[in-house]
Amino acid sequence: MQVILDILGSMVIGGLLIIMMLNLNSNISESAATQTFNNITQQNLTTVSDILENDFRKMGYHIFDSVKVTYTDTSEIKFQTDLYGDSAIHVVRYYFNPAAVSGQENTNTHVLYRQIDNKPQMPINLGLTKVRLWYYSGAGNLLTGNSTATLAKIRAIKVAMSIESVSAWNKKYSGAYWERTIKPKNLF
Amino acid sequence: MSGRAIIIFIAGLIVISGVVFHNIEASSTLITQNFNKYYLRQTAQDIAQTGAAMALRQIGNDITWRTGFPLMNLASGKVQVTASDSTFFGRKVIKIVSIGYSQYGTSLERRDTCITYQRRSFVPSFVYGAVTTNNPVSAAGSMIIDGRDHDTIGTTVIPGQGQWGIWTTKTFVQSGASMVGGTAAGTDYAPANPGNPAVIKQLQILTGGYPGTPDSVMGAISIGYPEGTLKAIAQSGINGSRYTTNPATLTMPLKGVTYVELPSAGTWSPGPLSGSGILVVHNSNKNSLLSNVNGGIFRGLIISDDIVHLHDTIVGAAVSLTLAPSAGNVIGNGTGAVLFSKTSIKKATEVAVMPPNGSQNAVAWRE
Repeated sequence: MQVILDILGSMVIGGLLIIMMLNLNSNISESAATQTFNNITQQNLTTVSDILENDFRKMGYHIFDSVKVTYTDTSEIKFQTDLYGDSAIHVVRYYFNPAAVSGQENTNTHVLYRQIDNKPQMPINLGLTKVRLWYYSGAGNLLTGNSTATLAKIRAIKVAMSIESVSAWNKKYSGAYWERTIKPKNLF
Repeated sequence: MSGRAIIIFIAGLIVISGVVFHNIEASSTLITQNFNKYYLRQTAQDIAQTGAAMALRQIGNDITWRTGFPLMNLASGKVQVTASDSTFFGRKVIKIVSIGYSQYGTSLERRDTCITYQRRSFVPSFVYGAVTTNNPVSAAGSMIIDGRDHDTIGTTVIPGQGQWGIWTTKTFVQSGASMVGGTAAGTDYAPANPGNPAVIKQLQILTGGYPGTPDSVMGAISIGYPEGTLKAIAQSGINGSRYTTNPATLTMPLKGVTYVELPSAGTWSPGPLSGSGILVVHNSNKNSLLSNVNGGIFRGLIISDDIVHLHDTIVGAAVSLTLAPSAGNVIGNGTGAVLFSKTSIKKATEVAVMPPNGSQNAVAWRE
């Protein structure tokens, strides 16, 4: 009888241990997956910001016209620059269409397009859900519109981006937000 | 399930958990690394920009500074800066290259380069002499025209660095006790009456024609002065610049670019003219007259359609644009002096910056 009780007791304790270990393993696995998704999302975000900042900081380089930014909108910008430092002036366009689908599993995501002159657009399809642009004068006043006088006053551009993982984990998307005011020196 | 089986099962779970733990830690490390890379890139960029700003400050103190900074510690990284004379699409500039390093010498090293092209002070190529004209010109009274290179005070001559005293597309007549000096082929000739012919260049022919506007005197678009630039600088008010159609509103001393736009055949007789910079007296008919300037000291460059009776001391140079001067071609018949000074002209061009570039004096930045 005593032996049977020992076996039953050890089975109960062993079962509890197994359940605990399985639960722990499941939690760890989920955390690992979430971390991986977070990592991918953040890497995507820094990749987009790298591309965008690299271009924006060259805004107006080698342009002697007072109008260096040629078109502005909350989701679109066009500006002139000698992008590659080869004396050739290019028009760089960034355009975000919040209505267009990205084709990713995450239907919240959309595509940011980068276009140089009239060449084919380069889609940046890395899980962007929102992109918003603001334009400021040297005095920090918000500027809107595309009159020549307004465009000539632009000294700073604030960019805000939200990004989500392109795939879900446990029906959840990891996300990140980035915001920066860029003051291209060639606009001053 | 036997006790041994349980032990093996639990051991398996521990191994699997270990692997998963490792993965989660690796993932966390990657997130940190990603952030760290972004931070280091930003740090390198900040250091590079700081290096460029430090170089600009040096040049602000000393326009001849080209020493640069050797690799040195700055903030949490290192910076290396070089400065050299260069050109940027035809414009004379100082090129400053600043390289910022974060985590220098480690596997995590990030570097960023900031290049800035700063406007370099210059003597416009059309300033051929202390007095440059497109018309017959004469000097009388005790007028002194000296093309030798002077300091900004006008008292010390820098040997062998000057220009001709008179340079004109027409003729020059020297009378009275007026004196003309200058530098020719590196030899200085002190003001004399009559002046040495070597420093009086008459009937000169200019390939491409004599400049017809103030901006073309500066070198026009090829060095950053497309038509309207001087006027725009004056209108911007930068560095004390002024633009006016009513010169009675001007107060001395002048600074920056002073642009006086007179009506056709208008005359401005300021009396004592003092200050520094670039003074433009011009209209579209090219018949504005700057006359009877008495008793002051102006350091810099005067560009006027027509100049007569210049009895100030001008430490710099004077350029006249008209083909048909008034008042008998007499640029001066009193006690005035035009003392050529490269430094004064350079200081004048130094402050004549394009309004969009503001006080940064920058032609362009690349980063």
